[in-house]
Amino acid sequence: MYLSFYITDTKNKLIFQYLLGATAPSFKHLWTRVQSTCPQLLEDSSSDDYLDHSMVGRDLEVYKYFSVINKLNYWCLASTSKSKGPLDCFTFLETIDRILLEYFDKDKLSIKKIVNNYDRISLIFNCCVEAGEPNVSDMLYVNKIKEAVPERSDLSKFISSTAHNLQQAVQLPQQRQQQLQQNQISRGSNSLIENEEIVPWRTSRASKHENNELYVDLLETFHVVFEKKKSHLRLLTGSIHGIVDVRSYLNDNPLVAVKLNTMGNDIGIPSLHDCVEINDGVFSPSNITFIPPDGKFRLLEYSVDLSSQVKQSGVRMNSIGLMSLHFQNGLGKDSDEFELSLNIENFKKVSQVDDLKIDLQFNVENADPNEIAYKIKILRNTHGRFENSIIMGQGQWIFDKSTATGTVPVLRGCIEYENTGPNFTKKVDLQTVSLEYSYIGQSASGIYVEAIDIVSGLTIGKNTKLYKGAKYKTQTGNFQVRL
Amino acid sequence: MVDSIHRIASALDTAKVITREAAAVATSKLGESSYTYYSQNINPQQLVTLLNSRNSREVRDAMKRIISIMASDDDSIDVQLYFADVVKNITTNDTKVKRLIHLYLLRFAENDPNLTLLSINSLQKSLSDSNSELRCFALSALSDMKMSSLAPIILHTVKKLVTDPSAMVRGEVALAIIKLYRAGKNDYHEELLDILKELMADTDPKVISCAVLAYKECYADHLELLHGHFRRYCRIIKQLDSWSQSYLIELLIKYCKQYLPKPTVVDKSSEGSPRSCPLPDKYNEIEYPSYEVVNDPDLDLFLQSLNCLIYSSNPTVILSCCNALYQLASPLQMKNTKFIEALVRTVTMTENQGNKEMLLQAIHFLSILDQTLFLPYTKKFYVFPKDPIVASIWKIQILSTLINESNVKEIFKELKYYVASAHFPENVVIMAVKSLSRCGQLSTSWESHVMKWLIDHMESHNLSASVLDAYVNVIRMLVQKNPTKHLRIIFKLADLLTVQTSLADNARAGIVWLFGEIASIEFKICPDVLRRLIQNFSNEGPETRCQILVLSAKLLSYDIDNFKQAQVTGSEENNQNPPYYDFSGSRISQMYNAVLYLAKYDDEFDIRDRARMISSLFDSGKYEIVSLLLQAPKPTARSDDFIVSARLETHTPEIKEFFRMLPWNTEITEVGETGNDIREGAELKDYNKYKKSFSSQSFITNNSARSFTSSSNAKLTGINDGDSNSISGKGNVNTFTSQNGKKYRLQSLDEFFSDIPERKSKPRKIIKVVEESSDEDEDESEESSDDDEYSDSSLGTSSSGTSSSHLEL
Repeated sequence: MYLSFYITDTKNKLIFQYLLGATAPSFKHLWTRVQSTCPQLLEDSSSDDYLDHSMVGRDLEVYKYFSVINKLNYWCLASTSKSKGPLDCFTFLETIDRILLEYFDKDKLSIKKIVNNYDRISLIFNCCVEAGEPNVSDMLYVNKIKEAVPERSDLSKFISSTAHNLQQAVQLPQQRQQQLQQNQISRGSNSLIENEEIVPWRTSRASKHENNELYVDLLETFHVVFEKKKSHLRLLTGSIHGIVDVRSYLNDNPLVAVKLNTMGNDIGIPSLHDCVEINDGVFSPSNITFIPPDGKFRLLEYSVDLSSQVKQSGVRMNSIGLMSLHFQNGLGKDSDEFELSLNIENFKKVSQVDDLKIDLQFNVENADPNEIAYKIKILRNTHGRFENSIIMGQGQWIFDKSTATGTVPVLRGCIEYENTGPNFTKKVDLQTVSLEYSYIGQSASGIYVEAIDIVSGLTIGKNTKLYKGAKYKTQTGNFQVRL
Repeated sequence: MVDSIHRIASALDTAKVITREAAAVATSKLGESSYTYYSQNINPQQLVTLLNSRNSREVRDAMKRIISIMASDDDSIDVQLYFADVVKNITTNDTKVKRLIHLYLLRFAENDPNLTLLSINSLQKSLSDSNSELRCFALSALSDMKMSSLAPIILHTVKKLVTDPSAMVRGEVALAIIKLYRAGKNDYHEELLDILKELMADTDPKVISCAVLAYKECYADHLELLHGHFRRYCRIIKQLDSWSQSYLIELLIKYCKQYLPKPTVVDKSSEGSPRSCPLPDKYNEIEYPSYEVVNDPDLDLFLQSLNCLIYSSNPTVILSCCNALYQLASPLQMKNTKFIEALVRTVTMTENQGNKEMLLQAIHFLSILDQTLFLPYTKKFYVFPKDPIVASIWKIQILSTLINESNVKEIFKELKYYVASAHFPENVVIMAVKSLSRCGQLSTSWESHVMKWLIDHMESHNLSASVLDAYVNVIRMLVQKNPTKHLRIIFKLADLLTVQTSLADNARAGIVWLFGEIASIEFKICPDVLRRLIQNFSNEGPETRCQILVLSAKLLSYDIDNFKQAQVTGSEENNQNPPYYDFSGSRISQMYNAVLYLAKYDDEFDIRDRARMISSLFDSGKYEIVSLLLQAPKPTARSDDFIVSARLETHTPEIKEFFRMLPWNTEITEVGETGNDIREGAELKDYNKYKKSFSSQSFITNNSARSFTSSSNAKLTGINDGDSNSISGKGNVNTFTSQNGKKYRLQSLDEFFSDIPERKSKPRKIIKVVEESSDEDEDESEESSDDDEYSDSSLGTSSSGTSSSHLEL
């Protein structure tokens, strides 16, 4: 049973709170209690003592969820119940985070947005939580919430409505009788349409769109760890996590079919939105049929295992993510130089790579880090700039905002020791390279949307057009090359 | 002319009012930030004025301000002071204002019961509203007030609304049952149980979702309620809300354990008569190498119905399905389904750190029981550089449970990287070192391999104290298993003590302790180790000094015992040997005395105290006690003794409770022996049959998987027809026209825009119309038994609709 919910920023300052009863504590009281009983809750996830759930009293538990997208902390206070599953509270906080994003149709929720919509968010929480439990009567779908908490109309729509009312008022005497009949017919029609509902995630009362639009966004995050073996890289472990988001602004109740070409990749068992139809219990990515919810929703998530990949797959292992990395130690006459070269493959669908950063980690062999002092000196640098980190043994090669594909950036540097003696035989080597970047236009696995079809249910006339499209984005989660 | 002027004046007057309203709204809706600024400038006095205004827009502005104060925890205004003004507005027609007042009452209703009662009359009126959303809201608001005096009223309302035609309202009844149950009145539990039985027999999956939640929260011990619904719930589980799916699975697990017979395992490996035994109580204890499981048909139905949930995006559903397979099925059945793959997919993809930790613990729990479940996914648990510490530690623990002969080489290499890398957090490094001991436990050669690598790494790297402690602990653990086979490595440790002077204190202490333990096996080298340690005694750390003292005492004790042994042997040959140990002449005794002298004046109190104890033992001449004390063999160190982090090496109580194996009920007789089938389907309650309309028939074919839901929802509009008909005769004419016109328009559009797939779907429409007609016949026979006027009107409408539809087709 949930007692209260809170939303805070990364510094744990309260942004929003929703209390379900008179006995639920405000955030100030809860904060004092948490600080005294279990301060580990206040650590972030990179700390040793990180804790995201703790008892704060007899039969009282606090759960914490950090939203990576919104950079917000969600907290909930719940009473201990033996029928509660271990994932219930964390999943519910994540669900609320998703609902808020989909309700406001935003990619990121800002603090100002929350402050400006206190009443709306309170009502959303009221819809999601009933009797201290998740509202399981289909109220966790965004279209249901939009029915209960209507979106704010645009000013232009309101002005149009006002102008229309003015026109009607002027014409009222001439067409009084006719208008009255139309109103009655309209009212009857509305009462019939009001409760028509084919599926719980879509309502026929959705606002009418001027144009029919359907967009598919494919975002892939790949995680790979390579190790250097002589002259080539060997994959230790790797996987690609894919997310298919759909933005649907269609009228009526259409049946949509999306065809994904997996290019030989095995996407395993993806997690699907409830709207996806599964024929005979087997999911086929080449024919995904669904009645789309209105607005933005997540169609499916999949994971491609690169470790057990067959050779016919669409992923080119040598240049996954369009990057080939080569680095060498022990160069120069004193064997204290290293060189790092990066081959950014030329690809016609991708013209540039964004926010490219390369972390270099150096390892000290046979030495006490406190006894030796050194710094990295760059001899030649074709792109970007190099920064030594505050931590000894780390550096960062930072590129410009955009880097064109088809280039070969090179970084050559040497290690300068500050206290060399006659018996000095120790050396510092480049040990690990981590890459971080993203690009638009192509997915890492090669999976693409082959077709987006409206099978049935959509009326297309002269005044309505259908717009559809697909967009691809790839970003790195973990990209590490070990010496 | 006068009429024209009058019409123009009237139009202008209307336009004036509309323009003024538009200006007011435009001012307040220019932007969200502007509105927030305006809202924040409302002072307390203005708030009272706005709350008492007749303009609904002003009331809404005031309520928004109040909700904002509650949401931001603003202390400058005490919103409870406006209780009376807020409650007064419950009679408004604005649904949003009603909801905002509900939020206010949710928080403050208990504090002022008398004023809260003023709102009840208005809410009770809403219970009869034709809008099902308003009825749902009214019931929710009433039951949320948590006032004991309201309980009888709510109970009466709940009894009445359990037959409401709207599934949304019936679902809300189940949620109201939860609130009434938690109010603590035991008098109502029996009545609420009867209402819940009605709800569990509903045909609408939405109502079942709510009923399952109420059942789990309030009456989870009454498993017999599931007798009549078990098979139906297994079939419709896909249509429930994902949260209710998880709840229902947990309930059905308990039901299967209680009311279904235990599965039987049949041995398929023997060629003679097949042997069989019941499924063991503990997981993965089946004795047959090749077996087949024979289940009760209802258990098979339940396990097969889980397969359609494998694509769920809710992690709680995936985890519940894994728990069901763990509790009710054999390891082979667990592998044949793909829920292990779904579980691994869920844990790798989620960014929810709380879920990630819990899921990794669940995988660790299952992996300890059956390593082969996760062997194909070993690489999924390699640590990524950006993993949080908590996830990294659990991943390494999972890796250590997956170590076997075929993959130990790769895992060992991976663990070496974690240990050697300078950029992993310290706790992760320590856990990786500990996991190396699991590699060493496979065989003697791997023991040597691990220890050799650890010692080499210890020599060549400067490590922190806690990491060194882990190294030495692992070495001690492996050495104690088989000391005689690792003497070379132990000798290498002796060299390490001399060469590696910068070794941490606790590590050196551990090595010295180790030599004390092997003195009983290989005595020769130990005195020399002690000799070299004495020279540097004062420069050692306190732990090492303490261990050196103990080592010297142990060596002296062994030497005395050896002397006695030699004396017994020698006395038979020669009586001239001295009868007592020569303390002054023995080198070991001299080293002992030197250490004792140094220890007596040590800075550490503990070392001085221990020196006095050992000295008094030897001085008293009771060497038997000394031998018992110092030479007793120590038990082999277990993995549990070596705790890196108590929190991160123990499953949380939630995981333990979740996966606690429930006992099977062994008193169940065979199904064949019992005459009755207790799981025969119960009678269902279909409150949607009074609604029907042809207007949504064309949509049913769009989603065959949800045809059950669509069919139920398609009947929702009938009640509105009835209401419209009962208003007036003229209304009847209008409704008839609307009904007819709507259908005509739909047909026209279908004909106009239909393409080839649309035409092919027409035959199915005809079939469905026939089915609908059959339903009508059934409804007609039931309605004809009523005597009121309502059924006549409804019948007339239905006949007209049918006739029109047939004509169109």
